[in-house]
Amino acid sequence: MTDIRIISWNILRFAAGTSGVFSKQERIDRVMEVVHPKAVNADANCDIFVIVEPVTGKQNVGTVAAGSGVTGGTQLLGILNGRAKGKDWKMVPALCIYSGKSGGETLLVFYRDSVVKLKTGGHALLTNATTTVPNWKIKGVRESCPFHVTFTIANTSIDIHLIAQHAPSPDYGSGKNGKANQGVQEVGKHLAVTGNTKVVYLGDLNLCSVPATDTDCFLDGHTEDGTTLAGLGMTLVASGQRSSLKAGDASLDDYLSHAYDNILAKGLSTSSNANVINLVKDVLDEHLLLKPGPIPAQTFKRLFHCIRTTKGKGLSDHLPVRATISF
Amino acid sequence: MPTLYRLLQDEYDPAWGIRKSGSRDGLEELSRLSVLWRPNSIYKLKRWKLDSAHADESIYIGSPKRLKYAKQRLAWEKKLLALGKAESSGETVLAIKHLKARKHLHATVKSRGLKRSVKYRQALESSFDNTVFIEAEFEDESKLDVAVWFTQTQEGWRVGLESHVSNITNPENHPALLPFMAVNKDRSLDAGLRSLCLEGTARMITTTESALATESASPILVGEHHYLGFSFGPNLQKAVKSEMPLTLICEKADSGRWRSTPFNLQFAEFSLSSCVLLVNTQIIEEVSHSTCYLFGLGADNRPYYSQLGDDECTLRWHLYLDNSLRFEPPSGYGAESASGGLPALENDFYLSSEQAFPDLEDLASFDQLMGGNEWRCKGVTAEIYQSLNQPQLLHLQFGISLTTGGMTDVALAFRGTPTIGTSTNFAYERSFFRIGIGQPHDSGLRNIYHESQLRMRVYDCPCEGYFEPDSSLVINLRPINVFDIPAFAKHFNVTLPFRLFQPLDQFALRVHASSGAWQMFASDDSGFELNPPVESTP
Repeated sequence: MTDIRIISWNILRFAAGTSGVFSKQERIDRVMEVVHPKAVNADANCDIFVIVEPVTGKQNVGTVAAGSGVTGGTQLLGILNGRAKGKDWKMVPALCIYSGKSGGETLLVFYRDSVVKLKTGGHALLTNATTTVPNWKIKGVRESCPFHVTFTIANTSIDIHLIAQHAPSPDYGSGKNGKANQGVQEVGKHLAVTGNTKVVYLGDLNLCSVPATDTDCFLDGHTEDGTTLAGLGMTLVASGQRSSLKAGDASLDDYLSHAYDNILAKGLSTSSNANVINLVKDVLDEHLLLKPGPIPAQTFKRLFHCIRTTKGKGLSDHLPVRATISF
Repeated sequence: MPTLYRLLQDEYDPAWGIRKSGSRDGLEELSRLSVLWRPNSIYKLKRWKLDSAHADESIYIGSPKRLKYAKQRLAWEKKLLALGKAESSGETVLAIKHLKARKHLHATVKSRGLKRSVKYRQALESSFDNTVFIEAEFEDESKLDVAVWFTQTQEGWRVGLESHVSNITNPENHPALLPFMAVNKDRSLDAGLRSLCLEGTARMITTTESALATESASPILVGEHHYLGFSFGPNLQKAVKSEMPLTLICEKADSGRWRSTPFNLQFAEFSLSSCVLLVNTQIIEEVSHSTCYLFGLGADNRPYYSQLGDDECTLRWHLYLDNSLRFEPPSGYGAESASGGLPALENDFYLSSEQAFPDLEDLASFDQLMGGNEWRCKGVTAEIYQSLNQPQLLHLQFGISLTTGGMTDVALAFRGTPTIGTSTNFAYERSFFRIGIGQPHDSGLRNIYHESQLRMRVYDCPCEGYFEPDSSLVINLRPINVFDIPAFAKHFNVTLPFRLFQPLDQFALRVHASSGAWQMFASDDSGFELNPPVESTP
């Protein structure tokens, strides 16, 4: 039995350049601490790291990703490889999963070659279209295609199928979050899931896994979210923990929004350590260590924006989620 | 026990005044000098010895009309700080002697021929004077040696003051040292500040006599400055080569801005010279917040800066350019407010800015940073990069891991107009290029990624595209406006449907830049598709 430690993180418009996570030492450091800490001889925190929402230029879906998100991925891989115990980090060749009026998007999958090996040709997009150009058409509209990566667990012949997705945007209320629900449901019905025994399905699924009875999740669609997640034929291993971050309405007691980032699996033996990595809490705790006592609202805002993206600051509007899955 | 200010108020004879004005108004100016303003009781004088020399009127030997050129003080100080070497200052020495004081007159004189000003200095000596001399000791045992008098400047009569205060043995509540007080240093969220080790005793020195640095002594600058010895964390300190003790210097006590003496950084694969550490501190919500930055001159003679993190961080060095050449998120920008987000806005800035960025110069000059010449020689990328018209350097960024000293990654961005293989119907416009390299100096782990954003006009239709990362000379392009796609395809004798709703948006023309051979791909959400793709016939 092999433990595969997985982290998935929607890093809002991840890209190289001077304005995102690569803009400052402290920002890329915060990202890297999640994946592979910098301390001398530190072990990696995971074996597979998925970044949702890296940027590409306008291009055809399914072609080799071209743009600043992949440049950033190349840089990040260099930093990972620079860790004393990081020489085995590799990156799955990235493909464009969506392209629209204002540019495109990809998914970056980093993996430790000593733990899992990428199968030859083992990366492709899921499509539900009849065209040869992949398309994830939901309610008649093009959405981001799920990315299907096939790994073999090192020193075994066991294949695991990783499916990463940036699901359609949520539309609670009258829409009952129908786009995201259908976008996810179709993954569950896809041969990549039904035809394989060991599957990990993760990403920013835009379905909230907090029970709809929670008073903070009363909008129409939450019941459907739970139903969809429960009906995929997979186990929800990271569930019910809020991973997206509120914006201007955030406060010290209430800064988490929906539990959009989920990890599911089938064919697993066990799962453990499944939770949200609450970087905001880490920053608040660090502050409290340095200055105990109540945190004023203004101070909270400043600390919150070390993590929550706004006006060119912070990292993302999501927190990373992780799980250890045994196959 | 009095404060110094109180002492002077009590002891300065009103009759001395300024030119016998009999006014003590000038003393008010003293209250703004940091040796005097400290109202805290611990800065009361424990012991003092007071002496004075005065006359009915000061008699100066020398005339302002005969001022001789001394030197540009600011330029000299800059040189002293930036290079650590300087020619003899030639500045006059204030000799604090009873009954006789050598004074300095300052004047700023504008050249008629040159649009610059220089500072002139003249030492004037008075044998009869209205000067108060104080040798004293504060309650915290800091020493004070001060002479107070009035001198004539172009702004009128000003308080002249010369003092040395050394050994600020009790820095608590000392505003200049606020960022470094243990409580604030520990409270700072800035890991860079926390990584600094402060060494020795802080000193405040006010002097008209400058001193060059030596291997064991930091430079002393003219004027009033605070000095604080420091070292970096052990990892970064290993890379430091300095000809003088590392010292942080602050000119204005309440500015919160400290600048270090110069040093060089020698990493495994890259070195920087004339580096300085800048510490900027602000008080926000009664808490001190500091940020630390390193500035230095790269081995390629370009200036770089990096935020300082903890001693195990990966320093992220950026090419230092003028503010106007740096991309800043537009005011009012919200994370979700712009389509494409900041990366798209940043690339647009680099493509659209009409400002002149530095010339790209010889591509080989980047080889050391890029870990060799593979980035520009492998495949045919050299043909593209060397064909650029008006190539300009936009940005350069690289990481250096402090735990290994090695370079982790590089991103080089530039722009220019490609000229490779153009025909009359394919006209390149200014385009953006970025090369990302992971582990540039480790051939076993090296990854090179070529990113491009092309703008061009094809049959006079505005298009955008990129050189395909894997094939280098294949341009993958499309009209900027999706509604132009059917008309665009007509130029290639391909008929595509035109729809107002759900326009065809998955379109690519793949053109080989030198042979001109092309393939056209098209599909849309309604199920239409060019299958197989249309290709040019030889």
